[in-house]
Amino acid sequence: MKKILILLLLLCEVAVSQNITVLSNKKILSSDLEFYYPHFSPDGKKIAYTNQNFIGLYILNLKNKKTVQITDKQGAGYNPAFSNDGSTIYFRWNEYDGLKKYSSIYSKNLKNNQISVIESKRKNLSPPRIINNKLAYTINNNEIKKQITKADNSVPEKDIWACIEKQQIVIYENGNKKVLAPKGNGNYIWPELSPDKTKILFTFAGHGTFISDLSGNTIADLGYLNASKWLNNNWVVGMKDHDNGKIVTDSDIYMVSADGQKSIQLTHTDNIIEMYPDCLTNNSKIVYHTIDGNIYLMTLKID
Amino acid sequence: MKKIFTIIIAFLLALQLFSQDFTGISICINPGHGGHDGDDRYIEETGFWESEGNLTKGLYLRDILESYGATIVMSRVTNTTADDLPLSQISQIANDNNVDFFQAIHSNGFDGVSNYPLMLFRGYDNAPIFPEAKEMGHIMWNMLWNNGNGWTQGGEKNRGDWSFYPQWGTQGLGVLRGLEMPGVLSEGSFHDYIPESWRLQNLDYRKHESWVFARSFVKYFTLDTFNIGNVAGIIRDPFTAPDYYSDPNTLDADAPIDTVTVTLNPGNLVYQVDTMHNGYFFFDSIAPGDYMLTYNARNFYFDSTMITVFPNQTSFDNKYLQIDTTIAPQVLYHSPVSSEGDSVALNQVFKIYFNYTMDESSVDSAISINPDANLEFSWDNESRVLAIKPQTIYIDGMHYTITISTAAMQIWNVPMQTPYVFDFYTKKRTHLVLEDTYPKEGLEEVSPGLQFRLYFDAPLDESTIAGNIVLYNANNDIVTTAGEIISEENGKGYYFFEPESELELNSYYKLAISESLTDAYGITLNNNKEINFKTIAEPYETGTVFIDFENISSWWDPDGSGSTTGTLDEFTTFTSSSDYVIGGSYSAKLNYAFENESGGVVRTHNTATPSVGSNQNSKIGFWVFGDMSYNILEYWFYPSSGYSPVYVDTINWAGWELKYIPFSDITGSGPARFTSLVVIQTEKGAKTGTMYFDNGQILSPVGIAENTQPELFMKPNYPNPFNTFTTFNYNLPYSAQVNLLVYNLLGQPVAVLINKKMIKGNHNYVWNAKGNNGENLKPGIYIYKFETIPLNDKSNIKIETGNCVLMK
Repeated sequence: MKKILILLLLLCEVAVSQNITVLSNKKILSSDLEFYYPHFSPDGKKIAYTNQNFIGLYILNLKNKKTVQITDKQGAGYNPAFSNDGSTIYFRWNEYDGLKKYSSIYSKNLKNNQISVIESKRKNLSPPRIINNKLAYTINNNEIKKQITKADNSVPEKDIWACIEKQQIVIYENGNKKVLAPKGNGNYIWPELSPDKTKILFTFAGHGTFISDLSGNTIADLGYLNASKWLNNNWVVGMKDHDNGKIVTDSDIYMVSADGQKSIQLTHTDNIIEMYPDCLTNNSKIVYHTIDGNIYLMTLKID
Repeated sequence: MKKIFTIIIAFLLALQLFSQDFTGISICINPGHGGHDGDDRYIEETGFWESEGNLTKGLYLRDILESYGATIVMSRVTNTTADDLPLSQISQIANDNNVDFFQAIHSNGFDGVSNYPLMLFRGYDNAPIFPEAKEMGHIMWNMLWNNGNGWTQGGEKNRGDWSFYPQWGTQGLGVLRGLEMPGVLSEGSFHDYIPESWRLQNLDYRKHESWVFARSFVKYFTLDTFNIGNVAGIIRDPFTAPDYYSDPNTLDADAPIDTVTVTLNPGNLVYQVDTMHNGYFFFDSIAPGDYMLTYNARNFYFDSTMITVFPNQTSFDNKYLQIDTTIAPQVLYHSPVSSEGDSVALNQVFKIYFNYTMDESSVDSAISINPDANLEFSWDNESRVLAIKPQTIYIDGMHYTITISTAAMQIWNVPMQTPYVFDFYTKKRTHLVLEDTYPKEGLEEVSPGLQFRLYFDAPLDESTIAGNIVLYNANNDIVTTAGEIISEENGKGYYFFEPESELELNSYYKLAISESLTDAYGITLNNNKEINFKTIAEPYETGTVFIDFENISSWWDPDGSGSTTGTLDEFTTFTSSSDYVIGGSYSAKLNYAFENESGGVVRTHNTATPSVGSNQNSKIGFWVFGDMSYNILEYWFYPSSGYSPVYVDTINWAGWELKYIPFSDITGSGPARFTSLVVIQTEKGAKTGTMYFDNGQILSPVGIAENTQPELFMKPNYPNPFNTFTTFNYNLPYSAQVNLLVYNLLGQPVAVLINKKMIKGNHNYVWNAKGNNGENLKPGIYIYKFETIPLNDKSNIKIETGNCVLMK
């Protein structure tokens, strides 16, 4: 407890001067089992997380603190997707037939526990996304879309999403495919469209993290920042991790303005390695894991 | 000829078309490291960079697999600083591209004498996170083992990273921990085992490893095997051992032969063996069938081998060529070379290097020396290097000539065609010379745990030491000593010892050396000598220990670091020791040997990289047992980004001293982690040495420090006027190059008192009124000049001057 208080004091000291206050930073999951890669549901009421190397999938209900295991399958914890109302979770899992990898997409209704098979034992199947009340994914780099829930009364999203194919950024928009390599040949990773769908955040391996428009024109250079996510249209959150070529030696969570001009260190610990943040978009909440398998929930106040 | 070649190529392409198919399978290849940066590994002796070896293997593997339809994702295709990717980015490249399998390609480094393949997968040995990865590790290890050359240890080494690196818990290898699919890290062989390092310098040797990986993927994915094979081998000379370490129980015991021309028929394919001391040849993508290999090499008899090529295999012919026994031998060179102005010690050993295995008795008989002296001969194992030394000693100040006549023969009784003659000159000695000491005359702030060191120009007559080298305290009582070490090397004599118990603080001592001390040749010192010194006033201030050196398993052997350069690996080690200890049962012992006269670096890296906090007012230090080598000691840190080498001191002390550096000397801001102990070779530094390290500690200031860094000052010397000694007291607010010189009134420099880099803090220097050559200066007025040049701001030079009066 003392450690957390000191941490909060440190955080506040740094953050207040940037008109950003860390209201709280709580360890919400701590277990000998080690949990990793937390993801918010869109309503912020649940968090999906997984074990080492994305094996298995769990959901924590933040209100009643109850945890439920969805599956123990390989790869199930890699980029699962909640339906917009948070009632269903979609996930991909992997199996090996003659050591060849095949993937399937499943869904589980969290209210009635009904499990459905979306795709079964396919090669080169991407993780699922929810775009405008549709389930979107690719098979052999071809887009598939399926209507999954009845459209609600909210303003429809733009029908656009991004992923990586053949080491480049691919944007699927209204059934059309656009390939981007804004910084030239190399490896593009962690592509994320901004909440207003007008910009794309990505890392160009070995060169840094950038924001470009949807035509690939660079708007901002965010410097060294990994696994970054949009907090809102003006800020992104990511990790600055370091290693010695063998193991990760340190990592902290940072918040960087979308113009690349401001950088705020949100965690500042010598003995804790904080990694892989996820943001509740437009709601100033961040979840992340530590390298020893604890999950933290941070709440910010942005003036 | 062109037509035949075209037909062969067409045949091979046809074979490929009907061979197995990787279509639909995607693999991420990660050539480890990149850009010759901090975590790269470099082997000075062979010029091998691990980042280059890994990349070449990765690119060859990509080309092979893509030619059979696989989809390959490379984490890098060049070798620049930007290619040294963070581990999190590497695993994300595999995840975002949704590959079926991930392979990180590396080679290994350890102790310079080991060589075997090692496969690592994620998890425990018997509880892998991905069972598929363990299966691939098993396949790949056996493929590597069966296709390797010169393995020094057997037993399948296919390990889970959590079991292999228990000190990291379940964190494991960073490149595997973020993967969403099975992956392995291959350590194909050991690049610090010099025979293997030379092989790795051959691009085709790397390519062959790529073929081994490709066949592993064929087996893993249960595809049809490749319809083509390879032919490879190493050509060796059975009568010659390599001039570098090789395991005597392996094929590497025999030296490889360079520049052999190997021809494969039918097809008349020609391979020219390189000059990189590997003897390696390789024929790629050969159709199955029977072939003849022929070997042509200068000084060796022509030879040939029939060989059968099988699909999906490498057919090996490890060939021994027989040397041409009719060639006349010759001396290549002798060492050391002596001239009239560069005389040698009276017991100098000369080495004669022949180009051939010699008949030892004929050579011994063929050697004469003028003027006459009784010589002893000794040969190396291969009868190629002869050592000549005098049975007693040579006459001093003499010109000698050694002749090896044409009666000297090689082992097949072919004599030398011309005699080999060389001259040398011995030193003129009138008395035994004490060349250097620790402590030096007049030194203050000496550690109570020092080691006395006396360096002479000749080996001592041990029977004359007792009673002729005596330590006295200020009351003129004899102080008991212990730990006596008497040694000789290259004609010099050394005498080291310690006080039996630590000396008193803030006390004067005198080491008296009698003129009766005699060397091994009966020559004495020319007069009595005294070394006066004073111990530190206060005990060393100790802090919180963050490294106790009781277990050094997290430290790399120095040659495992890419920053280590110019060292002889087999003599450069970092081991646990109980020889000299400050706390607990063990300290760490650093042995080092530099290969050349300058430019060497020894870095021993602690992979645990413990935090040293972020307190700008703290100090970080280690107990360091100095070896008086005059090389430079540095501590290296990881600040928030990059790394920060911090100068500690010139190693001009012997025995234990607690050596701190201020935290503020670490570049950057925020927290930092300690990474390495580093010794930098200087031009006048020793080429070999042994140091010990114990109890690394952090000293934090108590309370709130106010103005803890006073300004630079130099107090006037005290006493002034003075008779025999005067003390200069000065404070450095930063680490700096310090020069303190004394001039006479004509402006001529008469004494250089200080000329060295010094850490910040308060210092004293006691001057004994002697000049540059040890002579007593005449009474009179002298001017001192005190100059400081900050190490981190060389433009900010400060100079102070003053007068001092030397009385009779």
